[in-house]
Amino acid sequence: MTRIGFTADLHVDEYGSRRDPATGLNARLVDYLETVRFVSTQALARGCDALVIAGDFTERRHPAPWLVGTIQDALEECPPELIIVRGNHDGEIAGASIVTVMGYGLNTRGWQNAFARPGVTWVKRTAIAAIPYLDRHWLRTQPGFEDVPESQLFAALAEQYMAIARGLYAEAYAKHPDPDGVVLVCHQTLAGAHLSASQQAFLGDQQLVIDAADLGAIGFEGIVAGHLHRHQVLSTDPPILYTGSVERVDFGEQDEVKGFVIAEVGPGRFEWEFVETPARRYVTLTGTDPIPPTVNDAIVRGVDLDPAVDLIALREDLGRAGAFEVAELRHRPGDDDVAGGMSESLSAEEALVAYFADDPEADALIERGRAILAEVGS
Amino acid sequence: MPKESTTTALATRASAVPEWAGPKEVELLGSFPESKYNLLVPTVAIRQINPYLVPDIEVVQLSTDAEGGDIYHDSQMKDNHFAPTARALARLASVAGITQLDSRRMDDGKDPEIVEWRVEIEMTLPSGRVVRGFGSKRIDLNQLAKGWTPQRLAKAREHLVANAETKAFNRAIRSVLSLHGSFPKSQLAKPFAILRWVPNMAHPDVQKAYLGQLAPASARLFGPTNGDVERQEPLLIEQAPDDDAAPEGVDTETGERVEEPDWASTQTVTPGEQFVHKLREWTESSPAKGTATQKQRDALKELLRGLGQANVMTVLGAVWDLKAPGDISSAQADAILSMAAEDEHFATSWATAAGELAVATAGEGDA
Repeated sequence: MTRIGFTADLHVDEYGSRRDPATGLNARLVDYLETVRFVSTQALARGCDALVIAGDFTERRHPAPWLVGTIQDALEECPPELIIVRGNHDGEIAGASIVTVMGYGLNTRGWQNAFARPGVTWVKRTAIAAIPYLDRHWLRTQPGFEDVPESQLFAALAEQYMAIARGLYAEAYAKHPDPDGVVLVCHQTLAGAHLSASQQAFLGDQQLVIDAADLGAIGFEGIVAGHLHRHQVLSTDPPILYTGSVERVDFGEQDEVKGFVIAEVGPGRFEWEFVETPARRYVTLTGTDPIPPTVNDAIVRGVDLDPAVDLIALREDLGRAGAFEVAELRHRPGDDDVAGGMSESLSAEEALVAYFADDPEADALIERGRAILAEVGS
Repeated sequence: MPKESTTTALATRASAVPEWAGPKEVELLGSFPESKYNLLVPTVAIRQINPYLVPDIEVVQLSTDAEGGDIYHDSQMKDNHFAPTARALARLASVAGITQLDSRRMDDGKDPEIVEWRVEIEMTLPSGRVVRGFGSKRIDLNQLAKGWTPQRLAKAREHLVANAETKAFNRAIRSVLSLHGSFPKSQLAKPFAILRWVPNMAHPDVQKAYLGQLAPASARLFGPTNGDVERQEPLLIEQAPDDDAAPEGVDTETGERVEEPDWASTQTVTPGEQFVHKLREWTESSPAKGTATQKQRDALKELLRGLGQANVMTVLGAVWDLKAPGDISSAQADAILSMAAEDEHFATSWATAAGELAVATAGEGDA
């Protein structure tokens, strides 16, 4: 039996403008580092043989060396094996990324546990098959794929992705015909998964989606994925799950529970528990909400506040109530703010009328405009 | 927590593959009675014709919560009837292995209030037969939007094209999967069971085949060789021999003797020597004249207090041949104070230099 901690989407970086007075660093960066340290030390304290990080170490794609160093420091006290997999935020330059850089500093197995490409590593007799984040850019440059539609490109990627997953499973069995288990770790969107609200806005449908059921049918004892910040379970047999991010990234994630996963892996067995992290809270106030006690130490915003609410006084009150940071405060838009003006929702003729509404020669201009529209439309 | 979908554990562990004894009927549906499942499986018994593919049943559970986003109700449906949302249908389509062949607008686009869309999809049945279906949707706001508020109309226009495409896709999925437009809620509460064939990863031949595909597939998707280099042990390359046999200080092309610049010197300069050198340079460049002022002396006293008399005099003596602190000139004091202002480790550098100078002096004495 092997005990393994799984986490992903650390996104350690600077957010907001508050400074930590003790270190001079960005206060949210300090938050993130503390949470990563919590994950690492908890995995060790709870008897894990390894900690696997399934991608997205920082928010920026090419972190400066000092940031890489602070993340390494936060992971210093960790289980005997640290296994890291490249995510979409871990950008590569000339084949190197934060994962390859950190790989040379990893304990015991070093670079063998750092995955910027698919591969298999071992924790005792349990195989960890890792597939880093896959995007379409490389394949798009290959002969025959330069101008195929996105849907065809994604279909080809998905097919090859499955071939890799099956190949890694076969590789594990080729090395140890009777392993304690084979676990797939990846950083990808799996079909059936839910994006957080903010990720939905950025990622939308423009990404590769892998069929979780197909992966599940391969025979892995468990599949653990990074990429989506919301912790979720896609399947129970075998377990297919997202650990979710360890900290809340923005208000889109304010209601999500954050944490990491510890699993006991054995032949045909993957029993897991979710360990909650002390992620900083986000609180949204609306209307005439009174200030709740939960704003203490939380990042707070006020949206659609009643026009009668004094924003300056509210900001001061929030400060007195112990808010960690006040992100934004704004009133509910009035009717005048949404109606009228030019917008894409208007037809061409409506836009024409709206545009010349205040012109003294509106009638003649609109008439001429209608004629042009008719000419263009015919 | 979202509702979960599950995969039946029909794929056995690779270490426990039974020997193949020829084509056989596989009874799968005993565990999936129609009373408890919505079966999207065309036959009761499945015939497995080779050992390389195994049947697999995927179960998809839709959320029947109003907030779940998997079902919806509208006024055209019967009471307590609900329809799967586009998201739920897309999940069923994904699990059933439905692929989209074509999706295009059919109207000429001249009337901005009208959009007609057509989608063509395909699904491979467990028997191997391919089923192809299509769905189309025409939305005409000229007819549909009579009596709507301007806000509702604006919203409808904004999503007109996307709505037409989604509805066409939904129709295509429903036709291929033989799904009704709406169901009683109790029916939708039952999980959907969908059959498909998957590679038998427990079989050694299948494993071997995929092992062979691993490297090419990785290279195709992640690029060639980079990773292979990463995953090799680093090579230790010995220092190359000097291929320039010319003596130092001689131009290799002309044979002329040349004076090397300071930075080309192979001699090692110690931190103490650097410090002493810098003190002399700064003294020479200082505009101050005469003996040190009282203000300078007070500042020096404060600055050098922690270093000890011996260390202070070792450096002052070696750099400027001073016999007592009181002999210091204004330019020398200016150099010390200016360097201290720029170097936060000034005291350490001074102590290091004093230590080196003391050792050197002792060495000279020994010699």
